[in-house]
Amino acid sequence: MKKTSVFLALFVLLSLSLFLTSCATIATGTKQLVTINCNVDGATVSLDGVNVGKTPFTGEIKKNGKVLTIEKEGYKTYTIALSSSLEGLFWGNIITGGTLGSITDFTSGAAYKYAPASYQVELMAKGTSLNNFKQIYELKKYAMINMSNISIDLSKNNGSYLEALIYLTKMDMNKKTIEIIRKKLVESDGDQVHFGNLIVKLLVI
Amino acid sequence: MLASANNGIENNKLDDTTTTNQEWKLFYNDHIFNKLYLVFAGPFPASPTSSFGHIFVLLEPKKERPFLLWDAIDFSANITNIGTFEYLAKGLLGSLEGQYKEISFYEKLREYTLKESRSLWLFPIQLDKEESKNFLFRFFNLSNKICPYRFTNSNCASQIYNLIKLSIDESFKQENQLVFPHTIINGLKNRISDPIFIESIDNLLKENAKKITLNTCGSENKLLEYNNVNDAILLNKLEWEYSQDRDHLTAEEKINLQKLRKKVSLSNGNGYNNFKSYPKEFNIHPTTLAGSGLQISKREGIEYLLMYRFGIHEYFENCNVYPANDYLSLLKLELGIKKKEIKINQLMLFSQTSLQPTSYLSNYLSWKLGFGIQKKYEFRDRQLASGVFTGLGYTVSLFEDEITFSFLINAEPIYLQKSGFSFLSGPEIITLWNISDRIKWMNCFKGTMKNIYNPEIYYYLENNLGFEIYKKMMLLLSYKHSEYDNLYDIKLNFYIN
Repeated sequence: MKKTSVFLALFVLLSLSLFLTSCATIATGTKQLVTINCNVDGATVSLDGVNVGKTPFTGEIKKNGKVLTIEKEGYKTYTIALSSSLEGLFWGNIITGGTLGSITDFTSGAAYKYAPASYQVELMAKGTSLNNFKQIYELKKYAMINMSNISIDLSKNNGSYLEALIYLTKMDMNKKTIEIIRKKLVESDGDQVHFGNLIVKLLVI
Repeated sequence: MLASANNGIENNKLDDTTTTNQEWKLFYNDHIFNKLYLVFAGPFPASPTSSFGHIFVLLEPKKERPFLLWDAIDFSANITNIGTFEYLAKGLLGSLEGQYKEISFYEKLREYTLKESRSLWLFPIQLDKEESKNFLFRFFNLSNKICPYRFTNSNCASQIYNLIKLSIDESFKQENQLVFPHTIINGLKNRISDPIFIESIDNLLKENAKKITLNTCGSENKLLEYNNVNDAILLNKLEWEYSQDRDHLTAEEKINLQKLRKKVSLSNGNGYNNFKSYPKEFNIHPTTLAGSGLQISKREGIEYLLMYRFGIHEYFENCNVYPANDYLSLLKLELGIKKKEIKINQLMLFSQTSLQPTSYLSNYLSWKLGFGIQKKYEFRDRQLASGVFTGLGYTVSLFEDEITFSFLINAEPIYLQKSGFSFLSGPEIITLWNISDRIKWMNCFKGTMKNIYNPEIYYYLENNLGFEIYKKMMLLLSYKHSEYDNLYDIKLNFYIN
């Protein structure tokens, strides 16, 4: 087994020397353009304790940042440890919403990536019930991430992506509901964040 | 706070004291499932370390819920604040921290079928009520604990396999060796049913792009009819494209996506299916192959051959076997016996080849890498070469991947038995043709330049015809031609479980 490990190590290191050239073009520069949206506008965005802006935030942030903090009065402060990605070697792949590098525990909020270098942060208002927060988070995250597939399903008036969205809104799967969803998508002009915000209003809690 | 689980998953037996735990009861009621699926994500063409595939578990809940929202249970390394090289080193040594986690199936589906262009195989596993409860209880105990993670023998495959096996049989001795896909399929053969296959998005797009082209040819009406479908395909294509190695979208790209989403949602395109699943046969080779044969040389007479191979498979082996375009051996040995003299013809301690075809969507590199000793047939004096054997290039396919042509440029820093250290380089063209499910033909043409200063040029041609006699036996006929000699091989290989 030790032999196997040694050979695998050699293999991986040599392979990397072949493949890093393609990553290097992406990793040029020390900053990364990112968009950070939040369920609350005007929340302070800090990277390693340094204030970089307010939500909704679009700007360049250093790639080797370690801790991202989003805070706003009346809400629990949300902090996430950033990780370098195995594939990407650049900051843009960090908040992966539950896959490698981040675990969502909902203690103070949650974050997920919905498009390249675009992140949605959900801050938890003090006193909010965890159950309600989770339901809104799950619905909005699903709607934003799967918006294109939901559009395709709307064109067919059925499909797995549409079915799951309607299930999360707790509405019945019928023509009327499908029309409501279509209306929200049109109203959002195809924008993921806007669509997410409109869809959560449909949630029956 | 995460607790440490030094003993892995062995201490998590369901007993009376723990079953009264309120947290466990809530967890159990929330996760009780009808069926468990072992999900197998195929190789990730862009990552050499992912050629073993990936494994996770999917739970079909008792309480009806759309399958995209089913819970997936995954074991992976936590790489927060770890650099790539540190990750690789720690992963090989086993000092990474691994963790079980629960994630919605739609996220795993997106990660694999869209971002990484991997198809999924879902194998239903039969568990009775008690075994299902055992499984959930073990997972409940592990879900907030850290386990050691090692690429070779404490990874997703070994952890998930041990978790299922221990849920069925508490006395199961945990697998601590390298776990291959075949190990899992074979180890659960009494419980596993035929799989459901989920197509990767790039496969779906390839299929549909062809359909649209055919249907729209020469007919304006047809073009209008399929226009809505085209928009849906274009939307899915852009999603696929943007999910690849893109660090951000331009404002124009974002607006185009938004317009397209709105347009598609208002259209009546019902011809494009953005999700496709169907039952599909899963064939995989056992990890060990042994065989014997004869080599007849025009110049050197007859030699008896003995072969052994441990790994996934080689590209001359029969077709329609998973993984289709990735070949891996951890040990390959071929001995030649002639007049009571035993010689090594080949001793490869690692060899991997990836010949993923490129298409209008994906553009993966083909490559090969091997370490060991190989007899070189192209030179005038046949001799052993030891060192590193590499190649890099592209593969194109015809007739829905039935025939593939790979163009590689080889670079081999090696030690030659008679000439000392040499650098061999040159082009190699490999043609693979799946003639039928049981017959495969492989042709290889190689031009070799020996050394850069005072170069010597050689060429070499090899043809292999592999017949699967039955599932565990293969006949291989080969013809090797060089300036110096003509060789004919006949080999009979057996797969050993």
